[in-house]
Amino acid sequence: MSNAETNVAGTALLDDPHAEHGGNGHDPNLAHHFDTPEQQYTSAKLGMWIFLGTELLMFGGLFCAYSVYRHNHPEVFVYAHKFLDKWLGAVNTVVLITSSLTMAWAVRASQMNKSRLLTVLLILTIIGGYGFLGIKSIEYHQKYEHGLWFGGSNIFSESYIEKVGPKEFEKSVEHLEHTTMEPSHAGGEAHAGEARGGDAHSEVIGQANGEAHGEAVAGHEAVAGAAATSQPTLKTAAGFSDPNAGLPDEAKIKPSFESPAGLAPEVAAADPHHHHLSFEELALRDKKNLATFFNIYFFMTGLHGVHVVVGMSLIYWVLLRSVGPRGRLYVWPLGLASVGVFLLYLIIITHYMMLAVWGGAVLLFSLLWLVRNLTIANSVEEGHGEFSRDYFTPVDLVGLYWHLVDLIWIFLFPLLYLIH
Amino acid sequence: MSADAGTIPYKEPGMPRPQHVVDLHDNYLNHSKGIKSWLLTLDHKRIGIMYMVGILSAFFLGGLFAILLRTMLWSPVVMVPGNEQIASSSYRLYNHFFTLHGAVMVFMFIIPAIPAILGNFILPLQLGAKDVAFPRLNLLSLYLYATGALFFSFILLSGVLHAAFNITLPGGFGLDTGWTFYTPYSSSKAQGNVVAATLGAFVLGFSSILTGVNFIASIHTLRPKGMTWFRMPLFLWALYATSIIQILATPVLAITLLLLAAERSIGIGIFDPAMGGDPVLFQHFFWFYSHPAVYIMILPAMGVISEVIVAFSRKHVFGYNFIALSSIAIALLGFLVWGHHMFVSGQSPLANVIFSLLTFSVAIPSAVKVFNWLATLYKGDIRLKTPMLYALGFMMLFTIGGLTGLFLGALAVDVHLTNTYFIVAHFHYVMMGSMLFAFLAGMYYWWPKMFGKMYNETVGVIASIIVFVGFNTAFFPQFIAGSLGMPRRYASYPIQFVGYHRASTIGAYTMGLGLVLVGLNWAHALLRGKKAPSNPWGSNTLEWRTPSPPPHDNFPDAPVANDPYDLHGWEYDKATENWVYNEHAAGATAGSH
Repeated sequence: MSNAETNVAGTALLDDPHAEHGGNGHDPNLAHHFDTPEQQYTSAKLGMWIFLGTELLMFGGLFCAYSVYRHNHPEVFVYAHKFLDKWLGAVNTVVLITSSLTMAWAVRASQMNKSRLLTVLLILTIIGGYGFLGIKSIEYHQKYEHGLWFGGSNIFSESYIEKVGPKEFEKSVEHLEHTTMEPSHAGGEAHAGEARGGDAHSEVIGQANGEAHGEAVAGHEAVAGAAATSQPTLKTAAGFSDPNAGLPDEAKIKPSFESPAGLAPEVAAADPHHHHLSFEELALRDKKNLATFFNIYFFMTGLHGVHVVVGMSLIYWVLLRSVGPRGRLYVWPLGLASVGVFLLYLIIITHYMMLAVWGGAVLLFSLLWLVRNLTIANSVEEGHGEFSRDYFTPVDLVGLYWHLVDLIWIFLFPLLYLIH
Repeated sequence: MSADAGTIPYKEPGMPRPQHVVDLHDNYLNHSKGIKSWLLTLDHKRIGIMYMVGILSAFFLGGLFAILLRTMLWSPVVMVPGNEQIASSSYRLYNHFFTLHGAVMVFMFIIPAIPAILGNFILPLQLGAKDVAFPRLNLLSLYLYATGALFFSFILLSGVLHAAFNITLPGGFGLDTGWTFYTPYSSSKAQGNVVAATLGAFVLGFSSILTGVNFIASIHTLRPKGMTWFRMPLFLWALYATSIIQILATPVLAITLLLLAAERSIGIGIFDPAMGGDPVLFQHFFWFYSHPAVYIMILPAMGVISEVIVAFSRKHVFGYNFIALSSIAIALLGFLVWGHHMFVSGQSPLANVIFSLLTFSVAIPSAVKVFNWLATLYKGDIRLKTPMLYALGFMMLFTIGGLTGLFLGALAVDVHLTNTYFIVAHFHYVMMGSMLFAFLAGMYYWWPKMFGKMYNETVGVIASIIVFVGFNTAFFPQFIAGSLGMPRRYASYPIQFVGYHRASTIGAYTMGLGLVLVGLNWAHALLRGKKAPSNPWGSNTLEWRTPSPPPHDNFPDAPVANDPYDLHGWEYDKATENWVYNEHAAGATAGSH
């Protein structure tokens, strides 16, 4: 605001024309209501930490909802998490942690007056964000392809089952288990199924686990009352459910003895601990609740993804301020190109090809813009950007936000992908 | 921060601010002109005034629908063969009316009113600062409020239009869940546009969070020379405690509303028993925010009362430390009592007992405040000006509201009284009676400072009496009706309750009349009011040491704070109707102690 002129025009006699803008009128980065840069920095930092606290509380509420649901339905999580690709998740964790490193380094670079290094590191951080979202897009697309999308587009959802009928539904679940689960994930049953040709799946289970299990399966398919009797057998938390629990001792058949012919010996030996639930083993109520796992997955990762996008935008804003006028000639087109990249990610998720027209157009346009700016770059003065060892607050605060985004993912990854 | 946080090479700390001679006619209102200078201002005072316009409009809207729904309850509409159509459409309209009234009043008036209007305007002045810590953030929170409020009221109003005249606006069918959004009324069984409404409330919550962040940072870093934590005005303590609640509770509301929107739109299942979810979990989430939100409403009100009581008793506040720390105690205890909203929702008996005990414990800091105010009044030189009348009204209404809260905190009694008009009366005594009275007290008290104009004292006094009588006529009968079993939220009622309902309705009209008088008095003060002196009440907090209205930069010179409630030395000057500080008198009286 240009207050000084107004006041001079009145009767104000100011010792220093900048007195209103800064306590001593020399620092352009010092807002008028602060006395010292230190006071301004402390305020900004405190404000950011408080804001990060609110973010944590918001995600805290979400984690709380997650915990309540998982506590009430442990088997849903044990079974359904196997459809998530933990390798892609792990790679994403590494990508995000690396981008946190470059961000922290960027803060350091700005404190040490290394403006070129700062720019490079900010760009690397943004690229890290692109890596994360790109991998996430691939994951989302896989879910979409497999019918594990949210809401009614999930094959476990009630509306889907109603649409295709129970027979078709069982088939598609079986197909899903065979196509999406890694061998070690699918456990003994899947191996057995493969060994005997797949179609005889339920029959194999019957043979493998003995009569008692056959009863349990019958229970699931019958009314809820019958299902209730088999529920205690599935209440174990470790991912291994003894199908014979609650039966007289003499009827118990230990799973480790039941490896069918053709199964590799080491798998058979590890069976009791690496046994994973199959769909057939789930209690009726858990079968009905499987879609909720995917809803929770998409809600949590989606909200986190929104935070990643916000964080990237903030880093981009810092990047713009970290370069001089000439640097901005390059940074602006790159920002527009980012919009094109986001459109490409949407194509990866949805395979909606019309988006390619828009994405391509945006990318082409930003490329043309960049080329045009390259030609005029020589006539623009070189500059160093706004940040220096005296003023690096925005870099610092945006860095904090980015670390928070990273931290939330570090909690999300084990909670969703690594369940035992 | 990195390892060298301690050694950031800063420039020399600034010199003391230069002394300028400031034009006495320059103030924040005439400092710059044009609509743009208001819409893009970073001045906390202008932002406070713009908040005032928005929040008073919301209050008018919510009040209008309070009058309408009280009018509907004048006579019961009984469903008998032959009038099912009329009765059911009347019931549906009633659902929209009370949802609009409740949601608008809670989210758009009671929660932001004192922090956003008076807090924004007064907090930097009481700190002797030029602005809040983050002026841009402050403007952003104003725009978030405006966006959320317009969106939210549009959704709610379109629901009313649909129910009343069968007009369908893009807002769809509005909201008829009550302000609490309980599932499944708001998820699988909803008839309204819940997703849009929750987004509106979400944006309003964001505005509230940003204000909280701003106030906490301001109080931490902008206090002037001489103002230690325990020399802060009590209004600042109250705002500080309020901001703590805002930043701790509102994010939980945010995620609750997002989950609710997901529940409604894609059926996420977390609150849906058919998908393994738990509808009571929604109530836990909701009240984890909304119970502390009750203290967001009442704590700043208590801060206003502390200021007003001191100014009009001409006496140092009694028990400063206790009032200050009881605000923090209320803020923290307020987070531990949310379960008392679910005594009959199937919560475990053990949880009920614990929540009941904790609920009783909140009464302690609340009572500490009331007793300290009483002790401040004792042997004071009491002046019954309009702000003081409202403050005294607050003390009475808050005591009634608080003590009836104990009835509801007691398990056995609550089972009888829950979901009756007893609760309606209780929370109106606390939220409406107490908070509104404190808001009006604060508005009258700081009016001369905000606009540089005096209001008409006689009209102010008359209006305050009308509002007080109207309020009690409206809500006291509801205690009796509720204890006799009149359920809340019903569009109709058995004939034996007709007397109570009519008394309530008459009271509502009376209060409406009183509030119209308040509005006219303010409008008159703005247009024709006498020019206000810098310190019309003789208070010692810093905002009274600058001209009324304050200049753009708040203070000609950075003030130095002393004990904010030491009134020695302030003497009334009849000629200018102003209180002036006489250092000699201050020294003499201070010496005699």
